[in-house]
Amino acid sequence: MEILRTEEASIYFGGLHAVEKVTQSFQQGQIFSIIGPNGAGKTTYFNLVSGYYMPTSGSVFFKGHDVTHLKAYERTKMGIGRTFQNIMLFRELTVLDNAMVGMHSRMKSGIMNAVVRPPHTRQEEHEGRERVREILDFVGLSGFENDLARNLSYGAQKRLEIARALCTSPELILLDEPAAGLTTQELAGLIEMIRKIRERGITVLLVEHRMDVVMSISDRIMVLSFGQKIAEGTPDEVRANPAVIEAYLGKEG
Amino acid sequence: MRSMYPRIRTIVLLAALYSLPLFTKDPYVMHLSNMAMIYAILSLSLNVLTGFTGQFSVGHAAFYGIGAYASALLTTKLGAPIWVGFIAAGVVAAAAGAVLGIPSLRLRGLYLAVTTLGFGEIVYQLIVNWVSLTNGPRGLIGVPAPVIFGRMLDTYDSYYYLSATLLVATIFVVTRIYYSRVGRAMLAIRENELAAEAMGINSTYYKVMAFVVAAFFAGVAGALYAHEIRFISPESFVSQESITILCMMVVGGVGSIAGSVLGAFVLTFAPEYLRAVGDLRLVLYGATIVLMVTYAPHGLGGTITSLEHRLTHGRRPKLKAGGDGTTAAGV
Amino acid sequence: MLLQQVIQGLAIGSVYGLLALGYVLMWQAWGVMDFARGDGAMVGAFYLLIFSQFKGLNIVLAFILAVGASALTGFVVERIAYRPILGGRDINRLIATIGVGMFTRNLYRVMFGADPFPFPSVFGDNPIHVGKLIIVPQNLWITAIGFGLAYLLRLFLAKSWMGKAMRATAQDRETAALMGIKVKNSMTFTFVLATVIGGIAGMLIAPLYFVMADMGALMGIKGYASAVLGGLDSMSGAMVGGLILGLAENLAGGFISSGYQTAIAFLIMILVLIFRPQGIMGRRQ
Repeated sequence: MEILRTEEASIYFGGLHAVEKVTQSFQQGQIFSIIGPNGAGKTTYFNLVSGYYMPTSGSVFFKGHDVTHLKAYERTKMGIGRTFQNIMLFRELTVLDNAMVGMHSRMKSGIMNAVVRPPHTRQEEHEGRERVREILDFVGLSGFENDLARNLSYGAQKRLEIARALCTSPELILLDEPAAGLTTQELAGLIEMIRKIRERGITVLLVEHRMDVVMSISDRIMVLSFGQKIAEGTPDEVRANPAVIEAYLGKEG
Repeated sequence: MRSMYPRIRTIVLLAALYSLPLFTKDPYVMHLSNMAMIYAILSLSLNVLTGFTGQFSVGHAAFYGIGAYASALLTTKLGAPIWVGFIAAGVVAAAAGAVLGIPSLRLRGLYLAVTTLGFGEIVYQLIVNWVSLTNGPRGLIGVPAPVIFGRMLDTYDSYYYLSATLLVATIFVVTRIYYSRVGRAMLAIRENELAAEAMGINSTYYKVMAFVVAAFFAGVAGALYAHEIRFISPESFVSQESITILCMMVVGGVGSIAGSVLGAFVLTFAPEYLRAVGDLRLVLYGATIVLMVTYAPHGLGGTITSLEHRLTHGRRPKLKAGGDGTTAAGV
Repeated sequence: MLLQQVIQGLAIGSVYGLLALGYVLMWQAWGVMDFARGDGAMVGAFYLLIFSQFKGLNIVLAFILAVGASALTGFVVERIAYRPILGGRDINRLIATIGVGMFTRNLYRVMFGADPFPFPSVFGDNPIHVGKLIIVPQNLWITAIGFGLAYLLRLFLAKSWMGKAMRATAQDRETAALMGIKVKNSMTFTFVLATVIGGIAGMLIAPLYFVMADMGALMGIKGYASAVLGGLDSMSGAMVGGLILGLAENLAGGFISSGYQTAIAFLIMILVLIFRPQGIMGRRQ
């Protein structure tokens, strides 16, 4: 079943065609990678899907709904979660609070409930905490709940980003270069984690430079070059595609 | 096991606050205490805006003034009961906060700051020039004293209990907001607005809400001031007053609730006790502020939290709100 | 009537523009909104008052000495108050500038009292009659000096080595350091320059108003508003912002109500910012 589709989606920054008429459908439950040389428009495409950029032309559909004109926070509520390439944690908040912020759209209490704190608000807060602890445990951050995000190691910060996105209860998660800067050991853990995320029924969209990671876990791959989609298929198909080899793999061996 | 310490501390502080008039009824000290508590409410309310949400304001005196005039006018000209005046003060100021919150959606950092500064000037000039309503620079006299349980609070020491109660209520509400879903959303916006949106937070909504909440409490502080001093004039709501409130918040510690209260008390009492040095006191005041922010960057609140934590835990604390209120705002 | 308000507005506007240039320089090099700018202008005005009135020196000589004294003051203040908190949090640095302003203002109040000192018109009091129009010559002089200085500053930043170093520092401190620019010296120099320009703004406005310890607060606010209105990353924007504010104020004062002068100027500023959040000449971020 299709979960996400972009149709003829383009983003122009002045004269720069960052994304040019990309039409692509994504199936539920897959791990789907987007690769391409630097400046190919991968992150821009992510921003298009998550609502940070509005397309110059074209549309975005999520679960059959046209979300082209929805704002980022509205798309999060619908079930699109994301991480950022350059870590964007709430640095001065604790690990627990970072994750609790992720629960925002799954909780309801407004300002009156915050002040009065009736039983259902306490209940909601309690359940939120339980779920957050479960997710922190899932990404291996148990025991760090009360540390400030900025005091975590680089690898732990990346995992907190993922945990935070998972807390929004996404059906589709966009991971922007999760492997960048990780040690070999952490890398193995990451691959394992991405697979487990998929096992939770979450569709994974991945932008990644590490080809070993991409090739080992992706169900399908889309290749962008200068904003245009030049290929799409299974890892083996993409690897064998002459256009891809010329644009990308050819250069890096 | 949860420590009993916070609860004991709260009880001790409350007891100390409410028993102060038992030790001194000196009108001068009582009046200063009332002013310190009014400033504490102002500084707390500014903290919701700047400390929690990271929106920079140099126009807080405008809400303070709107609240003061709203209550004073209602009670003197329309003869409304004083409790109506207090509520109206909060509500009218909150409405003004919503209006000012709208430009905040497009502006950040210094651009927002100058807008709030401009708003403060506009409100001030309105108060000065709208003579038929406000009586202009001559001010409003005869603002009534509140009557509670049949007792007229027309002395500084009887009024003290009203100030203390409103301060405690403000601290309570602000603390509750801080530790809630709403408070977390505000902190997230302060820390990183883009990431907050990715968490499903409608930053527009919470930014305006922060303005409304901050303005509400500033308005109530205005009413508290008007009925304490019983006479209000535009001079009490000039831009300099906004800057004073800002200094109290920062010296107390951005984002720190206890700090806001401390900052207000210290900066209200210090200049009075510096009178001994005569005209030099405001020179020293300026120098003290420079030294404070240079050498105690987390403010009085931050310094006390670390001391306290070292006493109770024997190590350095992990400050939840040691954050830079305005990094994201780029001030 | 209209033309007279415009001429007055141009003069005041060019002074605001100079103040705004100080803000832009500080914002670019130091990344801080400097609330003590206006008090720097006040100090400049006092230096001119001291040298020309109290000491009775020739006005040109007094002006040169006052500029020198302003520069020296800038240097000392930078060392004592601005440099130590350079690595601090933004809001703390901003509050530090407020503290410096308070310190300066009250120090001058202690030294000279709170009363205003009249400053005689340097450029002659005889108004020039052009048809029905009455022009006070000093307004023309102030406008000319204001814009002349702004132009010289522009040339200096564009052509001189020091100016280029300052611009490089403003754009990216680290890269500038890699290029062999002594970033700290460059920042000190920018601070001194901003103080001098602000000081001259104070000297220019002295004959129009009075010289007093409290004059800085309002001048600071006007300069700040002009800088933001024009766009904090633009030198020409600063002058444009100053002119708009000066004109708006004088036209509002002349035709609507003098009581609402400042309010109307700020209202215009807020409206402009709502439609152009980055200021009139500022670049979109």
